[in-house]
Amino acid sequence: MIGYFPELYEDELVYSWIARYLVHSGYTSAADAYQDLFFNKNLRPSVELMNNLIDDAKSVMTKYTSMEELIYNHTLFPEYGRFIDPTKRERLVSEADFSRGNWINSLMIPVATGERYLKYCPLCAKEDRDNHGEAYWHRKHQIIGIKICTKHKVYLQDSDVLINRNLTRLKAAEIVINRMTVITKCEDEIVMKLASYMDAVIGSSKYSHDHIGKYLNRHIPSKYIHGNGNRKAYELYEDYTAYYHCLAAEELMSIDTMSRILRGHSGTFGNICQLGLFLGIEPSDLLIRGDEDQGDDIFIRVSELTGESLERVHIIGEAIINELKKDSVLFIKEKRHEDNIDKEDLTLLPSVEATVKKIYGEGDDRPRKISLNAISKSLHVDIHKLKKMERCMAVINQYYESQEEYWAREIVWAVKMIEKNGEPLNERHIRNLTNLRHDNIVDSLDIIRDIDAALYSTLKTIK
Amino acid sequence: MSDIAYEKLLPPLMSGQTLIDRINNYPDYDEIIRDAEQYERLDSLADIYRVYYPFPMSVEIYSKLYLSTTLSLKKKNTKLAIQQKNDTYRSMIGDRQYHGIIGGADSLTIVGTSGIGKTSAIQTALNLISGGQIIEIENTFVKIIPCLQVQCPYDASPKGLLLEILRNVDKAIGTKYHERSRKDSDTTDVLIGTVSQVCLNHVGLLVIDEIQNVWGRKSGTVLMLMIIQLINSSGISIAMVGTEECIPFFEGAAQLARRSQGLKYSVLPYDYYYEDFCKRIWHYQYVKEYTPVDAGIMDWLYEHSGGIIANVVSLLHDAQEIAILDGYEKLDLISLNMAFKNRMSFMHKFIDTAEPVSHPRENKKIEPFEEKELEEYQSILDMVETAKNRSVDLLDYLMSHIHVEEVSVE
Repeated sequence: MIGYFPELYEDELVYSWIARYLVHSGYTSAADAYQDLFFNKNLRPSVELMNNLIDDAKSVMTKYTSMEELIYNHTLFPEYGRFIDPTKRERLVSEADFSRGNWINSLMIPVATGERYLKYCPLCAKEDRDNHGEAYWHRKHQIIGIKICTKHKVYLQDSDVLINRNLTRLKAAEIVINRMTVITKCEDEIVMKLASYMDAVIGSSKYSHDHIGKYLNRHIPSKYIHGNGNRKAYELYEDYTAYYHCLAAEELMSIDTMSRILRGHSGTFGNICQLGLFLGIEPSDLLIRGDEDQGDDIFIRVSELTGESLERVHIIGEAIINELKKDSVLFIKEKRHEDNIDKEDLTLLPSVEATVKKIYGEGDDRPRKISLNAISKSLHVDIHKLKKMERCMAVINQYYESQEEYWAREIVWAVKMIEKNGEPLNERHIRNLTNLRHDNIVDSLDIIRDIDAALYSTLKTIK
Repeated sequence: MSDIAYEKLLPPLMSGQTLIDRINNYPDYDEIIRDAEQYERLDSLADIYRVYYPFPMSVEIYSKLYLSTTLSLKKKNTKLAIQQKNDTYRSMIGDRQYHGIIGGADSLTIVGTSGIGKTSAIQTALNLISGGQIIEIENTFVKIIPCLQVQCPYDASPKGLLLEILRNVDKAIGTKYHERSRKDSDTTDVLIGTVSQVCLNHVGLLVIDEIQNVWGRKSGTVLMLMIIQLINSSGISIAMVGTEECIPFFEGAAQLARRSQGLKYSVLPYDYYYEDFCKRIWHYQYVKEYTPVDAGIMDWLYEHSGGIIANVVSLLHDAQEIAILDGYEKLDLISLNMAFKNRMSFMHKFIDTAEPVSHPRENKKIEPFEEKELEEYQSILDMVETAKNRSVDLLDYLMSHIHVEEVSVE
């Protein structure tokens, strides 16, 4: 049972909070602190997000603030989850566990960032020591792309605490940050503007969509638009790089990335903020406008250009479109495209059904989890095209299962294989076959009980 | 930082009659018990040990310990406490030596002859100070033990004492510090850090009983130095309780002497409190025939207990027990003498059966000194008897009759 937990400071990372718990508690090793907090004492604490906490730890930590507030205000979830599908975001927050599962695939985490270290502002550290007696890791200092402290306008310093999902050790800021550090004031206007922009977005309680790029696209100045409505991608990119001349090359997105975002694909927090600032969009607008219907793009643009109300433009626009649809090449092309998709859907359906069954696991094959990615790779079909095929998607969605349900299937298969091979049934053998951890097995027991009560009873008794 | 004043969460400090009423404990007594069966009376006789009389010592100990506890609690939940925790952690991981930022709150000793009631007084005081409760605070989440009592290990082992503190903390608040500190890799040095942090987080006043165990042991000095370091690194108040054996030890070094100023108690004086106590406890009679207390009995009790309350209680208990068992059924000098001879034979050499230091009812008339012819005395013993009966100074009296030479004995 936990007898003491330090106070949570403003804008403090959960990782920092836990590190201070280790320092204040009197434990000699981090593993002792982990035993008080996590299901698995060998777990590495997440620097950016949160690990799954045991009930005692949760009840203590939520005396200070709710779990949801912890995720939104004290982790980097607002950075990685700001511009993703709202349904996914809600699911991740409700699970409140970033130590397992495929949350990495759900969040927009930049991949090629090189080695990252926890950052700090020397002046914030001094203030913290004056106010609280100790420094701590600020969340906003860790946002990828923010180079300065927005409060003191000085460059953030790298500590020697490497952010590595597999290796990060628990290090409290007070122990790591020296009292004598070089302070470098920022003079670059663009760096300061970008930092303030990102700070404003991260501090907002509003969230957006994964197709925010379309909203950005509508705000591209007309000088970057051809007569036929296409974008002048190269000019746009040139001016973008010129605007951010003060940033290093690796801090800028590529032209392909920019195009993808502007076409409505998801983008990282840093890239979207860079674009937002470059295009002159207010941070608040970036977040309010994110959830508009994609189809309203053209109407909104016309409404903004002409000054007419959106409703009036909508009525006129729908009427024109319906008239044109009758004979227009555009309509025919669109219709043909739809028909093609429909035909492909019908053609592909048997293959999809067979592939799904195969991946799901029949007989002695190890079961795998059904995902769009897995099917599209097996059938060499573009995943976006596959998403449009209603019949195929219906089959795939039939096999949707949560992580725990998948683990339960794996365990059932593993037990069957062990018994078939005449080996002793114990946890070690199950784990060898399935690569699951002990807490994964524990988490899936409830589901196994619903599938096979006898197996559940057996599993409860084995060691 | 939350602005809760931890010391205000204690029950208020008591004084005067309120305190006396809370300290004393007089078990229920009904005279009917004297007519009960032998086994019932023997069973009820044990109530005599539950009698607690509020001697001035008890009041003094309560007040001192209460103030020490509040001083310690004031130091928690401060910026200095946070700085101390970080500094101690650095020492634990080998970054630097231990040093005190927060400074010790209060450290004192309570030293007294065995049996005078200091442990009972301390226990009563601790119960009143903490109210038997753990202080639980939500923001910052912490559980605080206002007063924690541990025993100094019999071998004065520093590691033993540190683990004992952790074990008692775990027992009080349900943590697992002891279990997680029992690693071979954890040296005493590191353990000091752990205990400092735990005490700074969770303990108001630490009472270390049986501190006289440090005397005569090589590790005793190490243990005392460790306690000093604990005081400096944890900011808590520490009270060391023991018998007079430990006095030469504390007087041995300046830093020990400074840290061990406190309360010293020896045998009870023969005063109002003693008499009042005797009258009250004498009331608890379980023999068939009731006898009232008088000055002679109180004198006898004082002489034969050496002024030690525990001995008085034992004498009264054992005298009654003997009287009930052998059918004498009376509490008087005869049964008391039996108890003293048979049940307290081991204590005889430790009890100085001298006359009371002060006797408030001494109103014996002193007869004028009359010279007697030498041949009237058969022996020096006769002269001693005469001097005693006449309440005159023996030496003067002898010198008036025979040649007496004084020598010093070392």
